[in-house]
Amino acid sequence: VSSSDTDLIRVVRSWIRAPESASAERIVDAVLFEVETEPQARRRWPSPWVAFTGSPIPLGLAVAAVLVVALVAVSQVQWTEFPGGPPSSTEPSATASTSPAAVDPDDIGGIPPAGTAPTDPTPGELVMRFEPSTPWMTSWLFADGRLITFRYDDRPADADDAYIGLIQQRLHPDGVEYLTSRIISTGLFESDLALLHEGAGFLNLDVRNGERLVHLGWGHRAWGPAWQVAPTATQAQAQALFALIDTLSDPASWPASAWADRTEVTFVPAHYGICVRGVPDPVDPDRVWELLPPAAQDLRDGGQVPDQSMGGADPSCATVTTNDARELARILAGAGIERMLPRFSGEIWLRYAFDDPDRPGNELWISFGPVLPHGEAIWLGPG
Amino acid sequence: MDTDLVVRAQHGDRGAFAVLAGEIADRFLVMARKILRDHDLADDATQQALLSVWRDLPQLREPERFEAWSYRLLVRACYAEGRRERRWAPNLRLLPVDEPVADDGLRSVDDRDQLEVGFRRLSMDHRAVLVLHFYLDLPLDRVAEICGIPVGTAHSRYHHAMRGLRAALDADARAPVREVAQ
Repeated sequence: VSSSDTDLIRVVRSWIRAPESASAERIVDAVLFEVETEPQARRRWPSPWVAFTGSPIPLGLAVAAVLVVALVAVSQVQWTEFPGGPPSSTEPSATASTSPAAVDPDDIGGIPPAGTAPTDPTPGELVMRFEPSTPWMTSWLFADGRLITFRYDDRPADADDAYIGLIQQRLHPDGVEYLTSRIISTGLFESDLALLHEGAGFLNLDVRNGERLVHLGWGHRAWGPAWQVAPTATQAQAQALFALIDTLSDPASWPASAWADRTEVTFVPAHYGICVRGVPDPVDPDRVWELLPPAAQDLRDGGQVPDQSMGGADPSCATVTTNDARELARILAGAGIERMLPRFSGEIWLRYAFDDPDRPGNELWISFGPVLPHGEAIWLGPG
Repeated sequence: MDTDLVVRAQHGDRGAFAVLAGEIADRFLVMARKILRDHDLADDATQQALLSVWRDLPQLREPERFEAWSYRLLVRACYAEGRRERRWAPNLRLLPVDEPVADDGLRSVDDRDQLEVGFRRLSMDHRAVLVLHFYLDLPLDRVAEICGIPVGTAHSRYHHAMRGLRAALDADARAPVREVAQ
């Protein structure tokens, strides 16, 4: 694990740091020419109000006027952002500004097609979450034996149309005990633990030990201040963790008695988390939803789902049924909102994006993440 | 960076800004080229970033943090230019070709080509994290600060980007590929 990751870092670092000479003299000249007439952005009172009246407008009146102007502007701007334009006030909101007929309902990657039944909608208690750097995978094990796995670029040969990157198998209770006790027996899961990795790989591993899920992170100083003080894994600890990675990433090595049903079936979620965020600047999720077509807003039922992997500064995820997620995707596409497309062949994820009308340069993202049995929305694409 | 210079430019001293711009522009341009992989877009991003530095300097509360702040403006300008590129770029996909795998002597050239292909497939935020981390040698918590994202997000972007690049290199190892526009 460590040597191949180290090689990759060496290759990438060397490639990015390849010497490149560039002279920006011409650009600086152009900028300085513009700067001659370009004022700096300084905070100041809105002097036009003062100039117009000859005396300051009462603050309350000024605020009210600004609000009226802003509301009128927003009501126009938010809809003119999309080719669908503003909804007619006489039309039912469900049909406003969307043209679902233009969207192929069977071609919404990242959401199983209509009519697909959820694999098993019953909630489950998470007993293990395993995410190594290599191989590129994550697996979630539940107390009832369900094992859900994501493996990058490893679509099963017989995967059906409902495949969204996740497969489910089922362990026997003895298998659950086998894996969790195997992890706990390392002695590294008595309480949350951060260990420094001397190589270039990493490992995130959670396991239920007694009443709580204990987290172990094996990472790098570059991960931040908390990691500056983390102890380096001893040789014995590193060997134990590498052995765990080998075992957990290779289900074929598990004893036959561990399995209730080894058959890989497509995992179809019952719910999706719809997570909104601003890029690069965080935004109020309510404001983003208010910018969407009314039919889309109607699908937000107020439920919230936790998210640990959407990668946003303060992601807020509304929970919707899988059918509603599909409908929402159709509405967004029908409203002309751009769908961001995965750039690597092995990726399956669904995200829409549009420019923030109130903050030039900011982009608003709407990501669809399947909700797993323990209620967490996960994201299998770029953060 | 000379903080006095920053403060003078903050107060509208165009001469001070000219010196400041001269000091940071070359590095801005190299970084923009490394992020955007396109000289024309990089020129535009650099110009926009320098103009933003001038316009927004009065808003900078801590002049001693000018460098990190200015990188943020550059990354933002790259986002904007990259978005423009995304909307106009042809849809690309990889097709296998019937060519022999390059021998070991050419392997590094192949790697560079595949890294280029893989890197171009990363989103701007992922590219920015890699360039800030590897080119400027910044730890990920500083990268997060510059990008205005939580440290956890910087980790996640870093690892996703590295996995993407590994996938590009591994794909090359499995079968030679060529990029075609559709």
